[in-house]
Amino acid sequence: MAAEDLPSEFDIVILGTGLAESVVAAACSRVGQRVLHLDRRSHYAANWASFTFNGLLTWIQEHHEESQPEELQDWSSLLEEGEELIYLNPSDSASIRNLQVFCFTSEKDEEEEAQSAVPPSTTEEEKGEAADDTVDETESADPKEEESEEKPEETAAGQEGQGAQTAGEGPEVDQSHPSVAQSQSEPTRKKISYAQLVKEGRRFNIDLVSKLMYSRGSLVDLLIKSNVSRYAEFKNVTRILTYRHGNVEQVPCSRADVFASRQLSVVEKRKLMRFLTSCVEETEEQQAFTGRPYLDFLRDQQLGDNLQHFLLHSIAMVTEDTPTEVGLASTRHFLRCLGRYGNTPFLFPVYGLGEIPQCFCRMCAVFGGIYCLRHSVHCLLVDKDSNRCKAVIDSRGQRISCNHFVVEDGYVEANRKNVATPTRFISRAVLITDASVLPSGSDQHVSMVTVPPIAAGSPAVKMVELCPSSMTCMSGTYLVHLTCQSVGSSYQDLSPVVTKLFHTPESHDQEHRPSVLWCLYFNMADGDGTQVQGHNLPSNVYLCSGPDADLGHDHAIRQAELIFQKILPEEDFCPPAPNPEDIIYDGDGTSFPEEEEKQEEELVEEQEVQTEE
Amino acid sequence: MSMEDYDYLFKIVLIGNAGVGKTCLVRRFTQGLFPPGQGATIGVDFMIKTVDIKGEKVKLQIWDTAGQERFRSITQSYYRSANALILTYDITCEDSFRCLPEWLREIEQYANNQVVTILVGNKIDLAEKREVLRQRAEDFAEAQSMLYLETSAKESDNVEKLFLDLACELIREAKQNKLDNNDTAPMPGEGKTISYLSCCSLN
Amino acid sequence: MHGRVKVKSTAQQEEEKRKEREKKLKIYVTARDACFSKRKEGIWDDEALQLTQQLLSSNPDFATLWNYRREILMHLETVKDKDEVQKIYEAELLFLEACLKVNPKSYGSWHHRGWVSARLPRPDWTRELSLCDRCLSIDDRNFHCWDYRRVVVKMSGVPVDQELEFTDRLIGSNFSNYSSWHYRSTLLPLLHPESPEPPSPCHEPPQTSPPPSPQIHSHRVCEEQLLKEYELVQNAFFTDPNDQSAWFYYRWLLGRAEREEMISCVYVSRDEERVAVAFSRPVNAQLVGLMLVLDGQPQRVEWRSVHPRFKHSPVWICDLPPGTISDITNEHNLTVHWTEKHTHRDCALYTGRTESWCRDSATDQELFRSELSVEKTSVLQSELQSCNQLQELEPLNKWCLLTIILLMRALDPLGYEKETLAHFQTLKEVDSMRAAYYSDLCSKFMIENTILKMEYAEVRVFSMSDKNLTTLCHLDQLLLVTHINLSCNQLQRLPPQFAMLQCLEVLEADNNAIESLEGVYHLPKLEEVLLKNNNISTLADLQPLATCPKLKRLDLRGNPVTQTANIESELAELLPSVTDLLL
Repeated sequence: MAAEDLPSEFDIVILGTGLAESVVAAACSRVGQRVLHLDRRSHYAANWASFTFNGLLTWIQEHHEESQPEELQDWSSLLEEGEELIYLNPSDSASIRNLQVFCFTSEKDEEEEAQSAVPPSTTEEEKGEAADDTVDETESADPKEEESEEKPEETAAGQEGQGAQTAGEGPEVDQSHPSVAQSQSEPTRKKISYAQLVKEGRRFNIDLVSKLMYSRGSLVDLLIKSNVSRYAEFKNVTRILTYRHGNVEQVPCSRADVFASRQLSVVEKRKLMRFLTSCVEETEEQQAFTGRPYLDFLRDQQLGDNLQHFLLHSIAMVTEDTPTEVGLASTRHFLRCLGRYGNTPFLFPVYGLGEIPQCFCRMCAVFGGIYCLRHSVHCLLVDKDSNRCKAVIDSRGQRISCNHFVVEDGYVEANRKNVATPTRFISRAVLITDASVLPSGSDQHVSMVTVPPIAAGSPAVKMVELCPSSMTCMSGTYLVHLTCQSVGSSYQDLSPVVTKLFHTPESHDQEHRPSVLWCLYFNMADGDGTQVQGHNLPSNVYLCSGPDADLGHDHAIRQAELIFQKILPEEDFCPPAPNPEDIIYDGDGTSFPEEEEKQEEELVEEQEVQTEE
Repeated sequence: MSMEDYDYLFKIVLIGNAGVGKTCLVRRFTQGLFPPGQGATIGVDFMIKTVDIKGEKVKLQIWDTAGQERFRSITQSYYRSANALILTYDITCEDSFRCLPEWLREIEQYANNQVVTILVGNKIDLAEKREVLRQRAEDFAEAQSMLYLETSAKESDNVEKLFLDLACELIREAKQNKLDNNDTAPMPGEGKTISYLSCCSLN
Repeated sequence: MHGRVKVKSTAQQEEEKRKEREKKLKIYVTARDACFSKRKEGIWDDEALQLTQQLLSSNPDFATLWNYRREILMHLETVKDKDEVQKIYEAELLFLEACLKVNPKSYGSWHHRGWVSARLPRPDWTRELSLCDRCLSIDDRNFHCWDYRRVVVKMSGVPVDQELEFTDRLIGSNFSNYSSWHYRSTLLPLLHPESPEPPSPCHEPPQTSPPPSPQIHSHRVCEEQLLKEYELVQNAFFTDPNDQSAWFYYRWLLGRAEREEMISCVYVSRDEERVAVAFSRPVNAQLVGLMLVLDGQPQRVEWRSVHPRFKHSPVWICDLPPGTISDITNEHNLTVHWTEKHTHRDCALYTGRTESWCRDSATDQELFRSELSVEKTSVLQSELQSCNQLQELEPLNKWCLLTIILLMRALDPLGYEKETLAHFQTLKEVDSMRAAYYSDLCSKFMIENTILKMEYAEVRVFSMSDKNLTTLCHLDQLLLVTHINLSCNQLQRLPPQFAMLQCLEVLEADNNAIESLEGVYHLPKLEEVLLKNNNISTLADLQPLATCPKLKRLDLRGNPVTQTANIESELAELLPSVTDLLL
């Protein structure tokens, strides 16, 4: 692991290992381009990353620390005739803000204490003890901030500061009562302590973004087409749920679901099935509603409130004023994806979404791409005449020449970009809970939950609940991701939903709900606004945006393909990587006895035929 | 109606510093070649060799780092579904040995709990240049409860043994797991392999 | 070039594959020949076991090899101890799993597995069940697996309630599956039998092995469970009204119990000195131990069916010894005993009467509540409502229409006649491929309605002119009819069953398309046959009429046969009794 020097000449230098950058890297490398792929972070996937629990705590800490803007070094000595410098943004503080952490579980390892004392049967004493413990827990709920290690209550510098203050006080207001009640009603449910979360921290793979893969979406198509799918495994999302009238309900979307649904009447079942089969084709009836809200169209179909809710919020996943044609397109996409791999339209990568960019990076590396984390580019060398980037200067001051430069937009100074102003944000919350929002026979569900706006002006929230077998959380816990387009700070947007759906010290009469053990709120810049080519950048510099608020990955994949086409307009985008069994190896041109080699091997292999009789 | 032409499929992943001879070990084993000075082959994800272990056909999928170890930038996903890890260092390079704890941390972080790890000291053909004593490596391996083997990809010493021993160990574990959990036993119409997306596609 | 990998060309790959195939084939053929010669020599050793395993694992459908393998295994049983045998058979099961992976629908593999399971000293049925479950989760219509599973369930005595839960699971994941529904229909009567008297059968302990064969069981299910099943199956057909399996199950649920076997009618005629007996189902009277007692004296009579075509028939006749009842001043008491069923029916022939009968009417027996059961009307009524609801949503769904028709017939066949006819009309339009079937079914229902009307009116005249009849049925119910009017329909024949109309005097069948008169056969009282405008084309077609001794009037106008040369003289010869012939 010696610090080798990087080669100094590449076709393409890529800075940032987010999804779009990684796909571009793989695509270029695959068709023979020399690719250097860098990221200044120590982890892959940028804001698309997944972290272990401890890794996330570190990430939080890093984002709390005042990032000291590095002294801009003067690299002008490296300039050649007719060149000028463009400095890149030395720190990426803008994309993440309003970080807030809450811990609602006890600090110490409750289990150890209990084990030494009493065998795990439910005695009255134990109940009492458990209750006491929980009181302690809530008292220690937020003093986490005393720990210098992570300073959870501090918010990142930003205008949303006061939101954080109120939030911080939230849990303290009414501490003990709900917890006591909770522990009495469920005396056997032993809360997992913070210490256990840390101890089992590597069982977690906590995504910064929360997305799902549409089984016929562009990401899945690309994974299959390119053979990158061989680097990862996937799980089906098993349920679509929705929050309605104060309850979490399953949304019937497949034929089997509709059949089994208990909340639909038989007539509703018929109407739903008929709507789902009929809406696949375009009809005049639908066209009559073009431009009018989808909700009006649904009303016109006389489906009733139940079905209207399911179709609008959970299947089309649009808002009440979305136009009919958009709503229908989205419904059709959902339906097209249904049943390809399972009962829902979605897949989720085992070990989390952070795997996906890494898989593309692996593909890039297999075809010769060079990888270097903790390594950045300080500035670009631009040829004044052609306005093209000729080379970059890396964080060690090395000049590396390149024909194209692809960069995550966070590295580019705001004044050089052509982005929507003001920057839009995504509100995110990550919860570790102790039970599913809709317990059922199986505890291995991966659920997509749609939460329609809970009040006028509130955002619609998408929630994904992951079970331990998705390899994203420790056993006995669930990992819950909430996402919405920001209206206020993440806490303002999402905590009302958390309070309604979960049991926290702030919630009332929610003892039957899953308890939140630990949670994190933050806002992330919405990557939707970025355009591939910024106005004030050389023509061979391409911007990749960070994650957008959509549920699928289409935005990043489309962007990557667009960039690839600009760089290599004649080349195929991610053709299938050859099956290793079909590759011909020839060492140094010397003919080696491959054929005989093979023969021997095959003799060891044995006799089987698929023919005959 | 085709039957997979193996009874077991295992994914074996090589790790260790750049230049310790990982690729050479793989090529020696899978192709019987020793190409001095040759880097990783472009476009090769993994190499395959089917071996016969007591009458059972075992297909070994051997994955190389694709050069990502050069700047300490191996992706986590590389470790994920490995059945076995071959952690390699160069007996003539103290530095490659000193880095082992760092590699073990990565394994601990990202690899599957049941992963079988074997420590390999390569390049014993260069005995005169040895910097890491065998005893030291053995002690280290034992402390970390790893198997230990010294090899020479160049002389083909212990290379076959390395992979065959691993295959035996993996079969043993697989059978153990099968006993523990009958559900993992193969069933009609179902492959044993990791199901790739394209395989489970319905159309 | 940098970054480009050399990949084998398609031709190279194919060539490699071809070579591989060739090599494998050679090995296969060698092994096969070795197997055959070993078997011929009667060698049952480990090597043979190895060879057959090798061959069967690539071709599990090689029945001869499975047989050989069984011979070897049976031989090994005789030379090894029990533990060794257990081990051998366990290995066999593992091997079979591999074979099933190659072909999950191989007869040979499944059959062998059943054989092995039965011989295994210590079988592990749980494992077998879970194998079936996994297999069915991949393909829930694999009937080989279904069959094997039934064997396992039977051998291991899985409680019926667990099996019902199993069908719940399968139906939940995919309800378009006849196998699951059908399995359910065999389980429910065991688990929730219709209560004969004590109303607590739903909590009866589940019966275990061997489960009573469905054939000897009542097939019926207690009402409480029926209601649950109605709900389940409605969920299915509302979700997908085009799925047949659910509708068939529904029909089964609504199905009635088998009719009790009994003598439904005894008719005696003084003139012909003849007795006719009608049964609730077709029987072979010569075999069932039928005994006729006249005035306390058992009679030696010869029973014959109404037409030589029938060995089984619902109507049987016999002639009494001449003179036994001919004196009109005598009163006679007749009893027909069905000894096998311990049942009988009496009939008194009073003084001055030329005939007499004793019977259960169709109305009494609610005979034509079609195939639907005699569940409480309220239940059927609410089922009809659900179906009507569905029909409103899916006006053109044939399954729904047909079920509605059946429900209407079960509830009130005459009251719903108009709706029934309208639904049949729709059915013929939306499912034109089966128009003929619907016509026949409609004919059947209309005949039933006419029988009911006739009985209500207490007459012996059956009149069904101009009703689009395409077929005749329920003719056993018309044993007592004296006048039948079938004019202006679309009948093509008077089938052999028509001979059951033993009292028929006048047959009106003008304006049909009748070609065959096969059933106008030995009708002792038939005097008048009106067949204007039909399709009778040869003299031979009229042959059956010659068996009717009292035939006097025959109208054949508008039939091709009238064009035959010398028709009048031919007819005079064929039918000497006819005095009034219209040509």
